[in-house]
Amino acid sequence: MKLFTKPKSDEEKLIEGCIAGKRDMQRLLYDLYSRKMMAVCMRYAPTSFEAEDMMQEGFVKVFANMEKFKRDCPLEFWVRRIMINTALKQLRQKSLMTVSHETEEVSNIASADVNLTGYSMDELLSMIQSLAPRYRMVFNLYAIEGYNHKEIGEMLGISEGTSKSQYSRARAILQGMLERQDKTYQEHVISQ
Amino acid sequence: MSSANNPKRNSLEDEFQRRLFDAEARPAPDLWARIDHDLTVQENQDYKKRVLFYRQLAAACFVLFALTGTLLAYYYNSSLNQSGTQPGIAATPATNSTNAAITVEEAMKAYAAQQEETAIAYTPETVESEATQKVVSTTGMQQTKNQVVAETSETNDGPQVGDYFNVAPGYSPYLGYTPMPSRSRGYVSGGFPGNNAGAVQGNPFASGNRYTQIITWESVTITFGNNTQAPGQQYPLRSQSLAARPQSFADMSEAHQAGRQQAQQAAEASQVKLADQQPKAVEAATNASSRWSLNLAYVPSVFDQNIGLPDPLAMPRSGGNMFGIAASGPSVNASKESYQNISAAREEFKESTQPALSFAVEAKAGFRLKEKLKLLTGIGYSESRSRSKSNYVVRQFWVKPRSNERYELNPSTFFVSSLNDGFSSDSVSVARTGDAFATEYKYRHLTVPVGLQYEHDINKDWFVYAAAGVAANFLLESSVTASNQQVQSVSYTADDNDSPFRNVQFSGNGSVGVGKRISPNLTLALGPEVRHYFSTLIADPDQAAAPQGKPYAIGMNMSLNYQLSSSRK
Repeated sequence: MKLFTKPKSDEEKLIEGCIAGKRDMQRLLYDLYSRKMMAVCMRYAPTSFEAEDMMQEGFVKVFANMEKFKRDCPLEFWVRRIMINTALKQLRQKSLMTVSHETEEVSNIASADVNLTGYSMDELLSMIQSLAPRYRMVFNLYAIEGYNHKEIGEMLGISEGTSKSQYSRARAILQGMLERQDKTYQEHVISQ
Repeated sequence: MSSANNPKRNSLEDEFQRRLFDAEARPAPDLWARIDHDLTVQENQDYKKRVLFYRQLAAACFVLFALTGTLLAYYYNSSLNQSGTQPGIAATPATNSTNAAITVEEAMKAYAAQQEETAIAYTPETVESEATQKVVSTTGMQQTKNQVVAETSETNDGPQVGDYFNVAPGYSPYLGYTPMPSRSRGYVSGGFPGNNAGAVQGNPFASGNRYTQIITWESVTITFGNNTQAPGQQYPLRSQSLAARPQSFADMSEAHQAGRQQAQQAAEASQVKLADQQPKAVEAATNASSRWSLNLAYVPSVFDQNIGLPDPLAMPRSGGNMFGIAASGPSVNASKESYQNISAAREEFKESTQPALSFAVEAKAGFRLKEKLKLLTGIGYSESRSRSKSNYVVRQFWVKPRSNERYELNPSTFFVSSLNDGFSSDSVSVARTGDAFATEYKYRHLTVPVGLQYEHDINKDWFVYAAAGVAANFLLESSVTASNQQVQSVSYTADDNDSPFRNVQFSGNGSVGVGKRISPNLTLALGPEVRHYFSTLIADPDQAAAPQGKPYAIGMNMSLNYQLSSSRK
């Protein structure tokens, strides 16, 4: 007989409530993570409307599969992973990814120091959103989520080389954007 | 995630990650309402799958019950028919049949009278051989030492102790003919007057001697012996004429043997008449002896949930009621138009609400209390539906506690909104939609009925019945489903704390109708049934804005009744 039971944490109660299908608990989980997940979806989606669609589908999946959460990582990571997978799936459905076999080396790209302090989050997001879907996905997964190219290749169903190639292009485009922004800013300051 | 082991990262990646990994963005206010709607739709789909499964299961059970019932009916009918084809009945020549009705007792009496007349005319001739005596021991009769002694005595010409005689059915040498209706085999024991127990080695007809006879349809076997005698036992004296001349019994028995052929013809004639009367007799026996029965009922019905929409004039203008807020003015959406829409929606609801096809299935066990009165109880399932059409929805607005930001949830039906007084929207309004949408109200109950049924025969095959009872109805699920997906649908399970509906309802049920006997065991009954609930559907009617009455259903009861243990004799 179990004499002492470990008191359940709030997160545990939240998970159990969601598994039981309690709407108030689901709402609580949504309120807890909706802002962060919205930012995640915004990075992958070209527009905020599509980001909302991703998030809607993602949260429905989260609630539907909550009993599969093994508690081997923080709940937030698990929710984020579902959001990313949902986003990738939606992007792949909407823009059929062309399998590229370009193998341009990432190391060839200039790696000058970058300082993003002067940029707002909206500006950074709009830069990422302006990338082509396949570049956007690879850039997000590599630069922000932290996956390596092998993992990205497995996630997207492309080769590691393709992932590297697409990332290098995405990075080059972004660097170009940043340089143009810097130049415009400096010109604006000088003119003043 | 494997960012820690990624060697090729540099300042651009780090900067983007630092700025965007934990970034936050505000989702649209109605996003949760959309998710909520998706979840509801998903749950409904799951529920529909479950319902489909349960319906298929119920259909399979019903078919199984019906098949089992039919097979049982067939089996019992076959058994009854076989009992009618016993030797002596089936072997009866068709030419001997007559139309006059006759009972077993009458047949036996007539036969006895005939035998008594012929017995005097015949001379005793035969005694059964020793070899057949062994048959006696195999019939379960106890043999005594006296009997063994009697068997070894060769000097005695008359019947000895342990001897047996085959005589006609129903005949006892001392008791006379003992009719034994409805028994194919029986034992009769008796004795001769007097207490002379020592006469066992002499004449078995001596006073005090005992005899036992095995009576079957085909023969009567008599064994003499005093092994069953009890001290001081009074011997019956039913046939003084035979008792007065015991010395002629052996002769008389032999006379019976000789006249058996003649007598059997008369008996067969009587039995043919019996066979003609058998179905009626079986039916009478069934009615007389069976107490338990099984009943399967299906009741398609129309259901009136008896819930209206609130009258805006009767609603409080302020305070707890949500419509008070909507109608009272200061709220953004509480306009005069909304107030008028409430009235219009109410009228529309009253006119458009119609009962939808509902049904109940019940499996009951019946116990016959009196000849015509039966107690029935069991378990059942009912699904009650009602539907309406509407052009109006309730728009709901929420205000976030911290930011005081107002946003709108998916609209809901006016019906759902009026079921409880403690609605948590910060403001509501009733708005007219472009297209009318249908709403279905559904309540699933597990029922436990208890009732009495009175049956009165019209003729051999038809009867009328009247049934009344009460039922406990346990709510399994309630739902209000709108055909327009933009309008919120709700579904509550039995253990749902948010459900405004009563979990346990009691109802009174009444039905009258006619029935037909398909076979001696199987009857089919058909008649209208009314089910009236004793309380409202809403658990706390005082807290609901909607005016309510007690729901009821009117349907057609179709039941199949199978009588158990009908072959008891």
